[in-house]
Amino acid sequence: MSFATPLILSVGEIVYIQTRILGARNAVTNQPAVTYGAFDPDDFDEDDFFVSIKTKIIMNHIQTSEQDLHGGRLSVERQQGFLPGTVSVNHMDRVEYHDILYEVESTETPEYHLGQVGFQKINLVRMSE
Amino acid sequence: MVATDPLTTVFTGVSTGLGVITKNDGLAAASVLHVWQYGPEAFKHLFYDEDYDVVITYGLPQSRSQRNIQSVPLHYMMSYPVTVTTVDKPMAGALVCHGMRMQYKVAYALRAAVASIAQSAPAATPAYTLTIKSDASTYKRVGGIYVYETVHSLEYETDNG
Repeated sequence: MSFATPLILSVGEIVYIQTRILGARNAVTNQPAVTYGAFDPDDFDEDDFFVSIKTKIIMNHIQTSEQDLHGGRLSVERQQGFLPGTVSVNHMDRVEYHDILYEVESTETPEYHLGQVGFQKINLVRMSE
Repeated sequence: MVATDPLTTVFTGVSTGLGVITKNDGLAAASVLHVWQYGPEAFKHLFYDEDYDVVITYGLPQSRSQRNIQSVPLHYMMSYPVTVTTVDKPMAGALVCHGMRMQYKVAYALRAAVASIAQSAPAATPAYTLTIKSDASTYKRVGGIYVYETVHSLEYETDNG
């Protein structure tokens, strides 16, 4: 199905997001396989449902202030794992916010336990005016 | 180095020996996931999408050696964390699985499971003994989910480094 494009466009600023899809479980560890793919807002169908929800969460949890913007840094807090599926932002990803391009500077996982990420804070550094 | 590492021994022994864990009604079998620690999955996915009632993760050990004075190590004591995580299910309405209640059921079953594999078979390599040394429970509300977590420390003692 075509899914809720306004969900993305209303918050709309992610440029490059890598999606992470869980696969079959490993026979020894019982952990699921992970595959990666590029997020494509123009190809938004049922398969991307989880991605869309996750993306909304990411953008809804942008924490910023005038000081942050002028200082060239921006923090994004996301709830990874409390919704189905996952979206991974890695260090090569870029985020455009208010027409300013940011790159991921570092990430923090303050409540990382059991291999299941609770919240993750992504610190972005300004790359352009 | 032996073919079967202690983590696999603990994982296989506990997961096969745990038996049936029941839900609140004492009849319906709870769905239990045994998995190595540090997987990519998350709480809500596991408990509410995959519909597991109990998640047990097996982590890497803290180890220490035991030796005679100024001698080479004779035994290695490897403390493996086995973490039992439960939540209140469902998220709304009457509870079918109460996270705190499930913890005791699993702890009880875990003690029996470990007792059943407490010693390696005669002449097996590696020879080992396995005991539960301690457990510690925590409770937290994370992301709108009430999470009960107990870390059981299983000590694997062996003379095979």
